[in-house]
This record gives sequence, structure tokens and C-alpha cells, in this order.
Amino acid sequence: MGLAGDEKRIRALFFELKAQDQLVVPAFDRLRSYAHVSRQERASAFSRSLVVVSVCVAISILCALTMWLRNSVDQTPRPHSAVLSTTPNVVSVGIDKPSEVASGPAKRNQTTRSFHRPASHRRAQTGGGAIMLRAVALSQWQSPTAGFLGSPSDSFLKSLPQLDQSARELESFLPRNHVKESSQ
Amino acid sequence: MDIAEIKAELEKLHPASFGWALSCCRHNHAEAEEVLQTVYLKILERKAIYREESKLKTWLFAVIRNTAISERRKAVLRSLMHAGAISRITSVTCDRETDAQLERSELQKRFQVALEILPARQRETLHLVFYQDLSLREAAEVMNVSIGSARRHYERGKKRLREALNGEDVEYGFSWRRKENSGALL
Repeated sequence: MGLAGDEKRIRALFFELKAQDQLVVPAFDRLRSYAHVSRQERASAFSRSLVVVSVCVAISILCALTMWLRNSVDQTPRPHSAVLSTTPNVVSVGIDKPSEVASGPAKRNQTTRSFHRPASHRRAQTGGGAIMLRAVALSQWQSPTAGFLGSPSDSFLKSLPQLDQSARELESFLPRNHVKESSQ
Repeated sequence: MDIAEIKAELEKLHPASFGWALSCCRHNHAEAEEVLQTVYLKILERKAIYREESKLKTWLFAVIRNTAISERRKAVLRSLMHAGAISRITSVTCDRETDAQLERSELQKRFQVALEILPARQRETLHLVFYQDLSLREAAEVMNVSIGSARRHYERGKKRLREALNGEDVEYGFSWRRKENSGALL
């Protein structure tokens, strides 16, 4: 069964419309080239923007790294290998600040200073107040075993008896064995 | 399907694609060219990928249709609302008359005016079936509707066109559209 009359008429009209449209169809290559050029332009624009963004990111990373390194250099302690090369200069720091020298044995303090002062020496060269405070703290350091060098009778050993004192008072200075021999 | 094969197929379907783009853009040649160029760009940039789930022609026509709809929405957002379909149709008819050949029949003129007045779905269905020689199933795939909806649009569109071609007043189409699609863009 063929198409109805209306459908035939509509189909014929559409066929005529199609024939008219075919006369004004743009060339496929022209449209495709426009599309291709647009794509290339977009790709180049994208690559340019990508380069700019990459450069900005790299610069920001470098700046952040520089800031971080600067902060970490100020806070990290100096290694011991730098001590020996700076020891003569370290002593001069102690001389320049006599009030800050510790009251302990000078030899020990000098040694401790030589081990613990190079950082303070460098910082003194740079002129920081915190550095001097650290130097003072280090110079006041004492060995934890210093107490073993003392005894309860230090006060007796270090003091002398007076001539106007009685024998009994003098006996207090003597050990017990000596007192027994004298009594016999 | 690689790019070279797709390009070859696109070239084969180019006249039909342009005809479909014209229908989607209400026979505005400049818009149809721009839509088709955008579609080719999408396909070249692999933004629209043919997955061979349907015929290439139905897939391509669906891409053209969707692109035309999005371009039209962008144009509406960019500019002020137009006065309505009347001015557009009159401008289309005027363009047609200026570009028309000398031997164009009066019936063809009435046919084109009646076609422009039809609702979009009905116009698209008739175009796909009669102009592009697709089946109703394929037309439903292009428009992304069910086969039943496509058949409904097809029957109603034929009826409207028949009434228009048989001498029914064209103004009927306007009032009908305004009643049934009061919120639709004309």
C-alpha cells in the first residue's frame, strides 16, 4: 500500500525544500578548516596560558623555598666540626665579656666554652643579643658530677682552728683514733 | 572509529547535516553554519565521541540538535527577548522571498511558513522522516524521545501541515501555540 495522499504531498514539498537547501550548502572543507583553525588557536592560547601559569607557580615555589631556608638557617645549631677552626676567636668573646664568665674552674669552663661557643662566636660576629645570652648560659654550665668532688667535711677542711680555743674544741678537729691514743 | 574515518563520513553526510542544522536553526543560514562548525570542532577535539552505539547519522544529528539548542539558549541569554515568532517568521519569509528562485510555488511558500509555525518536536519529526528519510525509530533516537512520543509528534505534525496546506488560516497556528505553549519561546 503506498503512502497516503497527504504524505506524498508533504514528502514532495520536503523534497523541493531539500533541493533548494542543497544550493546553499557551504563547502565542507571551508567549515572544517574554520574549525581546525579555531582548534589551533585555542590550543596555542591554551599552551601560552599553561606556560604563564607554570612560570608563576615555579616563581612562587622558589620564593617559598627561599623564605623557608632563611628561617631554618636562623634556627638550626652549628655543627661541631666548625668548633676547632673558630676556637681562638671564641676565647676573645669570653674576654670581651668578663662579667658573663662562670664561677667554676676556669679550665673546665674554657673547655666547655670551646665546645659550645662556636655558634655563639658566629652570632657575636653578627651582633645578636640572643647570641650573647646563649654564651652566658653555656659558660655557666657545670658538670653533673661536680657534686662528687665535694664532701660534708669541706667546711672543716677548709677552715683553720683559732689559738684561743680550748682543747675540747681543738679535739673536734681531730679524728677519733688520734683522740684515743692521746688519752692512753 | 579513528578521526580519518569520521572525517570521511562527515563529508559524506555534510549536505544532510546542513539541511538538519537549517531546520534546527529555523532556516537561519548563518546560525546553521555556526552550529555545524561548532559540531565539527567538538568532534575534532573529541569532546563528542562516537561510540558506535547507533548509526553515525543519528548520532551526528543528535549532536547537531543539542548544539543548536545550546547555541540558541546562549543567544537568548546574550540578547533581549525578541518580539516573538511573528517577527521571526516574517523575517524568514522575507529572506526566503529575497533569496527565492523565480519559479517557487505559492504552495511551497505556504508550506515553509506552516512548517515554521509548527511546534519544535513536530517540525523536527517531520523533517527527519520526510527530509532526511529516517525511520520513526531513528528520529526518536535523534530527538531522544520514546518511539511512542515520536509517533505522536509525527501524526500531529502531519495533521497541522495538512490543515495549513488545505487553506486553514495561518493565524490559527499562533493562537494554538500560545494556548498550549504559553511559556514556550516562540
